[in-house]
Amino acid sequence: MSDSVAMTARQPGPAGPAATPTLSLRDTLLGAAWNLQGDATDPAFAAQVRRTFDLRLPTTPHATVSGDGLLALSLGPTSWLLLSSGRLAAQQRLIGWAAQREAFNAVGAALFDVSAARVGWTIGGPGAATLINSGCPLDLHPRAFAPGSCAQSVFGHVGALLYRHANHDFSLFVARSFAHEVGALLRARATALGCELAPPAPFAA
Amino acid sequence: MMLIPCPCCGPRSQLEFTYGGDATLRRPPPDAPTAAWFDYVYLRDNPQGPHDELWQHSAGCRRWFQLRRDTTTHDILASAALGQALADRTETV
Amino acid sequence: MSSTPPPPSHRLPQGGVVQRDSVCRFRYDGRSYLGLSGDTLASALLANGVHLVGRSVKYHRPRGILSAGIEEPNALVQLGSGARTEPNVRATQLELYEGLTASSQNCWPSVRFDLGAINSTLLARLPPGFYYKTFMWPATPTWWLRYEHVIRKAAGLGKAANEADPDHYAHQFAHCDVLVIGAGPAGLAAARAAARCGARVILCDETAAPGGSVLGIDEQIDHTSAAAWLNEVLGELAANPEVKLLTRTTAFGYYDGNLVGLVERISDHLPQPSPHSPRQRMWKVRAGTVVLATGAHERPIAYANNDLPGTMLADSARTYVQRYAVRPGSRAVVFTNNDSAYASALALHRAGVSIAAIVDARPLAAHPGTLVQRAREAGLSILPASVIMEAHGAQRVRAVEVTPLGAPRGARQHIDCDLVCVSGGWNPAVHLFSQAQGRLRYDETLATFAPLNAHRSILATGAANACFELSEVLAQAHASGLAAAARVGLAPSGTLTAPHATPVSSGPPLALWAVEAPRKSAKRFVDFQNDLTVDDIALAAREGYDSVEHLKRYTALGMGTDQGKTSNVVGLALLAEQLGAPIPQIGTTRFRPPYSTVTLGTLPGHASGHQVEPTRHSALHDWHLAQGARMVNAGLWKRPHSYPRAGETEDQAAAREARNVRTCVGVVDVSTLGKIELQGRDVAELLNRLYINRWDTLAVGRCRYGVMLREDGMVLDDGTTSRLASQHYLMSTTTVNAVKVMQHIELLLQRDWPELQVHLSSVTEQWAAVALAGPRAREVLAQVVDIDVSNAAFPFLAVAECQLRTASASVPARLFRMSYSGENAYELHVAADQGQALWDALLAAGAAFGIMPYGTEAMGTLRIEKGHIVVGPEADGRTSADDLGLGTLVNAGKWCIGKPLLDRPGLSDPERWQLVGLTALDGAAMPRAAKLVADPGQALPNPMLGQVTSWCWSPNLQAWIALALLSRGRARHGDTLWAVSPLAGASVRVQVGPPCFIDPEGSRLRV
Repeated sequence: MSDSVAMTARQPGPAGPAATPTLSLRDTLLGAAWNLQGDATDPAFAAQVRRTFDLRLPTTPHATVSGDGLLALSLGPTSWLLLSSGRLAAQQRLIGWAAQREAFNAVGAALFDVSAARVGWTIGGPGAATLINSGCPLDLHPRAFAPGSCAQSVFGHVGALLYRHANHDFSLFVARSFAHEVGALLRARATALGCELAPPAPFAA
Repeated sequence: MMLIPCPCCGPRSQLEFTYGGDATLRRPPPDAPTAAWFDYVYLRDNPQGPHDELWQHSAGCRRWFQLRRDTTTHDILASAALGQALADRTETV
Repeated sequence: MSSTPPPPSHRLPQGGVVQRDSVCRFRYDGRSYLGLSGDTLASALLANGVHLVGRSVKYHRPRGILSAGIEEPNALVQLGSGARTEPNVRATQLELYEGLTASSQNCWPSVRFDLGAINSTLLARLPPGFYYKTFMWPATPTWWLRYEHVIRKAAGLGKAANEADPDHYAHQFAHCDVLVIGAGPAGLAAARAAARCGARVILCDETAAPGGSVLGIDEQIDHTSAAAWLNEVLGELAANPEVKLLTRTTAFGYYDGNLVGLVERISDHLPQPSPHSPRQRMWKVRAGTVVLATGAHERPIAYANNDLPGTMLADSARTYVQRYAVRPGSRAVVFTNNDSAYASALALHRAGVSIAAIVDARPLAAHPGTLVQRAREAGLSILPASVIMEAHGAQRVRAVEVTPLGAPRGARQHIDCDLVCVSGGWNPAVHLFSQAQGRLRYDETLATFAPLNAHRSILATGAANACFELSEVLAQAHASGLAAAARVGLAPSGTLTAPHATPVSSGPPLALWAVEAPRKSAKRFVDFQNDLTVDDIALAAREGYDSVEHLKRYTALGMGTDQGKTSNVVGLALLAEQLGAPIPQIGTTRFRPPYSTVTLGTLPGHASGHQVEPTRHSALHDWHLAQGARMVNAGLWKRPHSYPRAGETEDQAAAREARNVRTCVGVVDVSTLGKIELQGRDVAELLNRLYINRWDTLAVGRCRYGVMLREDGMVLDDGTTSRLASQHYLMSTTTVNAVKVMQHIELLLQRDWPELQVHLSSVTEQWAAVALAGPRAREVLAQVVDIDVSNAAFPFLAVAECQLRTASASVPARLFRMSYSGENAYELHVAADQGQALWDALLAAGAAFGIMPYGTEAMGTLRIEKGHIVVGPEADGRTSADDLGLGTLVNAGKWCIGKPLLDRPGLSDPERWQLVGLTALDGAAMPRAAKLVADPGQALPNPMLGQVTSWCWSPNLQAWIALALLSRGRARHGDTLWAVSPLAGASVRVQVGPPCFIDPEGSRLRV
């Protein structure tokens, strides 16, 4: 994990066309994360979301909405993941977490703290989609998966959450217990593609 | 490997799904005769052709849904959220 | 090796698409030769005049290079040596590289002098269906047992490597609007048309050089040379970012949902593979539409000795001349039933090969096709309405006997030659179309099976669609490319015109599968790889194998590594002839993936060895490893077995750890247990419906043990659920059932009880969990948490949220007073990234109290001593709650999943197996997984009364104890039985008792 990619290293790629895609791989530092569940059409729920997080939840599949240091990703018709980039802001929010949960429960919704449940990587460069598609069956053509989209799928045998920041810029998240597994896979495959391993950086919401 | 149309997320690889068996089963009321319970728990049709099945988009939105699948061709004829009617698509080989 | 090999004797001075400035030296059967980059091993051997490349499987007859591609049945070689050696490589596809080393197969001591050919009289007498006939006998004959290894060795093909595969393999998913398979003229025209509409296109070709049948030809396309046209198209495709061209890539299988499997050979053509690059990559391409431009395979005609080296498919001979600049012979006879072979005759003629005759089975045509006319104009001798009846030669053809068609006793013409070019017509390569359940039609005019082009996602085009004339192929493929793009809603912005070629007219072919045999003993081969003759098929038909699927399995027709690409259609046509049935009625055998051989390592790709399935690590994984713990599997998780100290065995360590928990205090990593958080108004109601016991009485700040059943009433899972706040619960599941239980609840909430207002989220990954157990546990705990943990303030089954003091900070934690060990025990949960800090804090605080970490083995020992079940060993899917002694938990006042079937008679059978405890007597160790019997000396089958489900050495009881499921178990307390393990040769006297061995009143929990 972070210790193994703390250094920046350039790996020579193989000769030939496979060396052409260049990409960078870095660990993502997540501030906090919440799983929010409720009925998006319920005004009371929407109002509580605005009060707590100051944003409006995305209501279409694969959609995301970014707010003040927060990114809301649609996980399903009644489920969202809120990712926070700033660790400090996130910790402040966590202090009042029980009260916020009660507030959501009071409107028939739920708020789960999942800040430590996932680990992630930022994958950038023209070869990023190729690297992700070495284990993930999603169609990553910009026509099918535009910047700002998210999707849950698999990477190899492991469930994965993908977010596209920009055309050649992705975040990939997996459950924490698989960090070693997916990290090693990504590094090995990235090396074969001629990859730059970059130092960890906070998640950019 | 089938391409399964999740009613929520659209077509996705079969790798993301979990099979859940016959979608037409209905749990009998608690006081139903034992025979009804045996039917529900143990007896399964094995149709050749269209079969209404339960699938979960387990690596995706986590929704369970209904899928009508031809057991001889693997053609997917329809999918629908739970509680909604399955409407056949008219596609053949 | 020091002397330079002679220059290739049969290389043409000009032409071809080989790189003349790049000479490769290679070794074949111990001899050095020179070839060129761009050669295949086959073309390089032919350039050196080598035709004889192997011996046939059954008769050990000499065999030569028949084809120039994937359909090759004869020229299989053993490539390389050591760990990378590969058997059955087709020399016709193997790209030549500097230093390539290969040898012929299935012959000893050499391909020229093969002992097998002399000694294989037994093999030669094996009839078709040999295996079936042998094993249909009432007992396997003793002679078979004696000769089996000889037969198998002689009938074997190459040898697989004995060492581990040093290479690695990759997988890649890809998506496109149009996947074009085959980059010959049809594939290129289709890909370009689709790409010009804006489609995302993947174009793949099994060879290194796209171009297919137009490589090296003299004809013009779009009013320029074929080579210039190829360059132009490839340049246009390469410049389009939406087009991906994959060379050395074979589409091997069509799967559901328009998924096509491709295998890309990345480094097979390199002398030394790059260390970073995989050897092969499997592409899983999800395509909108597949354009099948796979071409066609030429088929041979069966006549006597049609397998002599120097016999070659006519278009392959042309390919060797035009693509590889090789003269495959000096004096050729061309034998054909169609016009295409005339192109070969003309190409050979222009390359300086003398054309002794064109033997055409068809009568003289009134209006001969373009190529026939050209042959006449070139002065080539054509023998109409004639056939080759027999070829002569030993290790190379030296002459043929030609007779009039249908008049075997007619005038014979003896023609000397060293090359016979045969064309029996063409089979479109419809394999993938058929795999996709596309239907085939039999085209009587062309005497071939062709796709019935009405498939929703595959368009066959060009020769794969039985269209063989270049100008038509280009027009049809262009249209296919446009049609494929249109299916995804794309159209060209302007008018696109198809590539142009000068039309060539052709006369119709004559269906001709086999020529009559000159004598009974003559061998006319249909399947070269399996040594199957026309007479073998006739025999099978006489024996009643009148279905083509039965014929295939009985005779092994088409079951070689070539999968019958040159033999299947001929074989089924001959069967039809035997049965007097029309060919369409016989049909083809079912085409199944793979189209061509796929290296086994490519299929799992990365997921092999220790990566065959993913593993899960808890937050404390690295700490466990640093202590030298051996990690054991629990589902996908890795858990520490024990923490042996210097000089200790694992068992001694586990015993020490278990003893320390009973006498002092221990900590164990329980992060792997499933954790599901539930929030909402109706959680208690949901729990009531899920668990056999009652939940609406659970107060905030309390937890309770529960058992869930399956619909059939058997135990599904067990665990503790806590009420953290009014609408906030935490459910724990067993490690291995966490995923299953989550899916179970989701289905029930989404399908059956949508009215329940319950939200749930799996938080297994969010929390690191540690259990602290033992008489000194409270003293340790009090050091690290900020709440009162006295027995009065925090009694058994209490739950609280609190702050935990770690070395550097205070972190939120959840505290539970619950026990699996039977001692006073607590569970602490903190965010997973704080797991190590929690562990360190407990070890530091406990140092003064003699704390020790314990692993899964000690944990298991402690729970066996207490008689706690595990889902798996005890609750094995056949056990009810009552069988496990948990029947009293079933609440009579409410319904739950599985409850209705608890009343069935089978579950109250007095003979049912019930949970008991066993103690081994006579100082013996409890055998593993033993069965329980009354008398070990009784004759087999000895009635089984039950089985041992969990066992351990109890350091606290100083005895071997076990849990077991035993028929009428609760009535047998005090009985003595025998635990026997025939596998281990163990037979131990055991005393039956209640399952709980320590503190049955549970007083230790509550102090």
